[in-house]
Amino acid sequence: MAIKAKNLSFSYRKKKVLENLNFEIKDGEFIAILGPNGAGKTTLLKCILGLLKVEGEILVFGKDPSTCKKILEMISYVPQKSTLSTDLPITVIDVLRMNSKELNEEIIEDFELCDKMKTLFRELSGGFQQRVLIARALMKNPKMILLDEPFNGVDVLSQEKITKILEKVNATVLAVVHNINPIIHAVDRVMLLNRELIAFGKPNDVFTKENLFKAYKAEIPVVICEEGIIHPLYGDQHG
Amino acid sequence: MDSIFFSITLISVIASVSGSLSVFRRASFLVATVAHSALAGVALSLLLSSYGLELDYFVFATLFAILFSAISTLFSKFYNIDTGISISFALSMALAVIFLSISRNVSTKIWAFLFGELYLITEKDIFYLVMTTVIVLLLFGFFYEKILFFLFDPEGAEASGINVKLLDTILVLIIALSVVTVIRSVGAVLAYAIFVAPSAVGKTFARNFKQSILYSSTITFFCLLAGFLISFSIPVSASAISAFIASILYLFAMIRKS
Repeated sequence: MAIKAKNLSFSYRKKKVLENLNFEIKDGEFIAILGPNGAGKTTLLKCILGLLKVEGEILVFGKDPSTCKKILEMISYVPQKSTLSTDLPITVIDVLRMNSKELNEEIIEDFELCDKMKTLFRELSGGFQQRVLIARALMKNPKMILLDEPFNGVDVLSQEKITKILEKVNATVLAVVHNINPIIHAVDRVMLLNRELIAFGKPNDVFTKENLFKAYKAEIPVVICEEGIIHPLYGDQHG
Repeated sequence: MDSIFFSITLISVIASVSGSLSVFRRASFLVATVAHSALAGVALSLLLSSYGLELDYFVFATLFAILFSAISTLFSKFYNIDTGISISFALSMALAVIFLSISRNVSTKIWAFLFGELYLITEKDIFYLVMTTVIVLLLFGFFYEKILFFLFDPEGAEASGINVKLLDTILVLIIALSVVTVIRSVGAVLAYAIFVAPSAVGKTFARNFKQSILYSSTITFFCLLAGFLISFSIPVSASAISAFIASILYLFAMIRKS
């Protein structure tokens, strides 16, 4: 079992950010986490990393991440780009080496970064910046990857590239996204969150009008694609 | 003269490392707060000495600098980092003025710490400069990779297991110690320009972090040397001229960049 949460809650300044979450995630699953702003998505990732003092219980690979820091060696975290100091003069190769001294050439090729190794990170497009961050996460060969809004400011081509690589990765993947559509065909399950767990399951079971209304407090239109998968529309505006 | 060149070289190293750290930590105003809190420490030592209790200014300045760095961090948690540092700055200045108001005959002594004078540097000041340079370079070298990770991506660094609170404390200590050591030469009021302006220029044109510090260090050396040499020709404080040149260089660099 990759993650097991039992009655998991987290409060910030006496305000409940996460309330009574119960879920299990198996090894190797690809999970998308959706919900409106302030739903507690990033907070949940931080609980998994053991960075927050939680109520209830969360186990990652069978251990409490807040006390067993060894767990962090198995997890890679890709934060929101807005939290980075992009004006720091730092090259792509420096960023890739942050998680692992040894560089995996295959990952560099997969992300088409070979000719950009000496480029400054701040000079890359949003799509390539995100590729570098995810490549950095993969360098330490993690058992779990947590991504916080990996598609923000990323063009369709890079979204597709990133999704294909994440699909192939031999690790449990949790991606917080506002717009599920770029990865809906790749994910195993979707977690719909708004402080409490609204729904957790296969995309078609989660994206019902009732669940979406419960999460976003608004009518979210949905379409069904040729493969029969329900796509919620305007998820990015509501999220 | 040799001791002045030696001091300028050491100040350039200290100011460029600490200035870059404060700029990249997005807390460049911390330099001003630390400088003014060190001034409050100096004011307290002058107050005590005016009543016959002679104590080393450096100890008081360092203690106050560290104390107010901690207060800035604490205040930052209440609202945001800018407000926290600004209020801490105001508090340290208020204390400095209070200490000076009740001191006797210290006006000329405090002037040296307010605006600094390179040619008044003593052997003891040079000793402090050497000691601080060694400590700053050792800490910076030892934690270089972690510092780089933390400055670029604080959340990612924490998630990878780096003790970011400890690392941030080390950064603040490096900045505090550097500023305290340098204010005797460049002054509390002008330290901000010497620390921040060259680092901001270096950051703009550098292709990596080390290069940014090298550029910043070269610019600081040039500004201090020019200030010192020009002060022989015109009766103006060397540190004021250095700070003026550093600020103008920053302006030109930003115009060129844009």
